[in-house]
Amino acid sequence: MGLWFFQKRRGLFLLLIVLVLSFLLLTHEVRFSSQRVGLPKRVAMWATAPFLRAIHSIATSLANFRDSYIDLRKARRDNLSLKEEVNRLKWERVFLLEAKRENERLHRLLQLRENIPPSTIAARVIGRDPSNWFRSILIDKGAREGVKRNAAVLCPQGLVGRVIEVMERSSRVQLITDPNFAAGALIQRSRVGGIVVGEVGPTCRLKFLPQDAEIQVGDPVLTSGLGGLSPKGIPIGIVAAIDKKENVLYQEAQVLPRVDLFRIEEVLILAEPPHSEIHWREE
Amino acid sequence: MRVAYLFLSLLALIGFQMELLPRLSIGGIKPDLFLFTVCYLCLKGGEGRGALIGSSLGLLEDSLSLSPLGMRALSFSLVGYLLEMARRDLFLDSILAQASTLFLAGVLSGLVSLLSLNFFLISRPIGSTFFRLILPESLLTALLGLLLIFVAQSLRQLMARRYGSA
Repeated sequence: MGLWFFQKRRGLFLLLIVLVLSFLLLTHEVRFSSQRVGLPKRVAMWATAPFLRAIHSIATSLANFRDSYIDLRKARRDNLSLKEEVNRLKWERVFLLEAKRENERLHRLLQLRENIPPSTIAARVIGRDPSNWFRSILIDKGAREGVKRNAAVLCPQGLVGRVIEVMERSSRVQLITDPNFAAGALIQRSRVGGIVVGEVGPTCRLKFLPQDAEIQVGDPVLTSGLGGLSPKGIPIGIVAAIDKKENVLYQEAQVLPRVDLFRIEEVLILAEPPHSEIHWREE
Repeated sequence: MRVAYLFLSLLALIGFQMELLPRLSIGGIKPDLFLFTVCYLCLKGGEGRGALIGSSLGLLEDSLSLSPLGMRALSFSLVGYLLEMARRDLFLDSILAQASTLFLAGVLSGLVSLLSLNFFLISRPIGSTFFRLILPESLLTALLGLLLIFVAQSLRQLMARRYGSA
């Protein structure tokens, strides 16, 4: 009788078991995830990181090839007689362009590295968060290379985020647009401080700005260094809109990140935070 | 052979979701291929394992994401179970009906995820999350589903025509 009932309601039983297990997992994860990365995540990242690395390089090459092909199409139409030559050069150009772009990016990264006193680690982006609920990227450097949790992550344009999960050979970076991200920030012109937090969407929000603070659309926003997570003086973005309401203690501003977080390919991780302000060299 | 096929399919799914779809995202929102797969497998006939399929794919997405492990597993297992239960009663003959089901599944899964996040004090504003994340994500997933179903049906018709004429 019991077995018959179980077979009849197998789907429902499975659902209940799965729901209870998911709930327990969530409880465990929320309780302990701030201290260490759980085993299932470690295993998943360990298994998929090499594959993601390969997929990423193939996708980048294909995207570059497509861009180069579009550039070349018009010229090829006018030079039919040189078709064979162009075809040969096309392939050469794809690889050279890729090498040149990489060289430029790495050069900018190197310049940034020279500006920052403590030791830094350069890393490549090998994957992006599959979910829309959280904003993170996966990089190809981990504990083995000296990456530490909470380290600030930069690129030549400014702040990218902070390291949130460290695996043996890869790490996850929480982007500044992640709804759970928060860092001390200030408006460069008026030096008014607040807290920049991620929000749902591609922008951030600068909160806790005094009502009488002077803010203008277009004002650059930098890290304030408060909280100790990121050093002072790193560009975050610019003020895109001001949200000032009456009868509230603080005003808020929408911040458009300076870094194109959807197309970022290489980053620099601060192995230890500098003790003085970073003087950012504009590109 | 079946295990290898499954493994390769999962790798392709991960590759598309983590590498290709972020490049096509609109306003930072991309379609959820994991949800599409859950819906497809459960509507096709999960053989009483809709919840398990949803949970497994949800866990996989959670483990590759910054999200707490179990968040998507919880919502996908519920969606998988409900779709599997309701598939005989749903009108799924037209592509639009299938896309609408996918959209509703996306909204349901998003709401469950939002509730579970807020339950565990990872607070998210309900209004803006619904209008700026759940709705666009569901819509994009439904559109992607529409496209994939259309391509699959066209291919099937093409194959049938070829075999028919041969």
